[in-house]
Amino acid sequence: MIDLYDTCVFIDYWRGDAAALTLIDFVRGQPRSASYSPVSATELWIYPQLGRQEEIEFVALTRYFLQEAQLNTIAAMKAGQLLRDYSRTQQMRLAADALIAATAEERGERVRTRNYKDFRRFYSNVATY
Amino acid sequence: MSIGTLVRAPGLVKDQSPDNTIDCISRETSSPEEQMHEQLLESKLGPELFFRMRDAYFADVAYFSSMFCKDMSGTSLGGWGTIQPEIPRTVSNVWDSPKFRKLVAEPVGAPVELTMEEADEIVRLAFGRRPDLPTGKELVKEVRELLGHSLIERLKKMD
Repeated sequence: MIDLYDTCVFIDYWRGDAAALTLIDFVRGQPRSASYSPVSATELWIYPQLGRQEEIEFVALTRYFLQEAQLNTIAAMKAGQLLRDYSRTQQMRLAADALIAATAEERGERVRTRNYKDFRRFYSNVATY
Repeated sequence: MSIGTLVRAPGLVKDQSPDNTIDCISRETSSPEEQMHEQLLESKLGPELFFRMRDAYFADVAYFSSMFCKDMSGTSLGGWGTIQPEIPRTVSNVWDSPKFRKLVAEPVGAPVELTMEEADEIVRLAFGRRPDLPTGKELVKEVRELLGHSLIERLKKMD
């Protein structure tokens, strides 16, 4: 079972979280044995406190050690359908979760996240760390 | 050349137990490498992380230890003093190389070329480098609302 690492894994690794370290050490030992969504890249670079050094570190990690779980049309449509039942406010808050969850489902991967509750709305194969 | 001012050193690093890491160092110069050292010494490290860091940068810890011990001789712990880098560092890392000094000085978005070995070291050194960030859960909550708002607004315009 391949894991798809949610955005929080990258942040928690930078922060020094031991559980995030375990996940990243796993892919350093077995390159490409987990994936990430490009949506995470967007989320990270919205955040202005991340700069050039973090960019180099993110490129280092994603270029050699993680698979890119590309967002395709089927997953994007699925995400849209998942969001239909929610209010406009919830759609705003949950749009990225739905995109990442739909991507993981399309690829048959498990989402690893600290936002367990939000992902479980959309996808059953979710694990925290 | 002074590279910084010792602000507080309750335990120095003679005893490298987690309870005796340096609390805070202010610096007059800054580079990724120095920031890494600063974080190494500023962090409230747990046992697991501490030993990992110590293993990774053992020579660096020894270097700082030597500086502090030399500088603080004759003063009481917790006092003030100027650090003099009289003992050369014995281990360097990827951020010390001219290639990466140049690369990190380039703007966000500039191309990044690196080998797998360089990438592995960069990833290893990145762990714990930004303890100032909010937790992943907090940060994601913040940016997901921004991103979701942007996406939904775009869809509304398409209606």
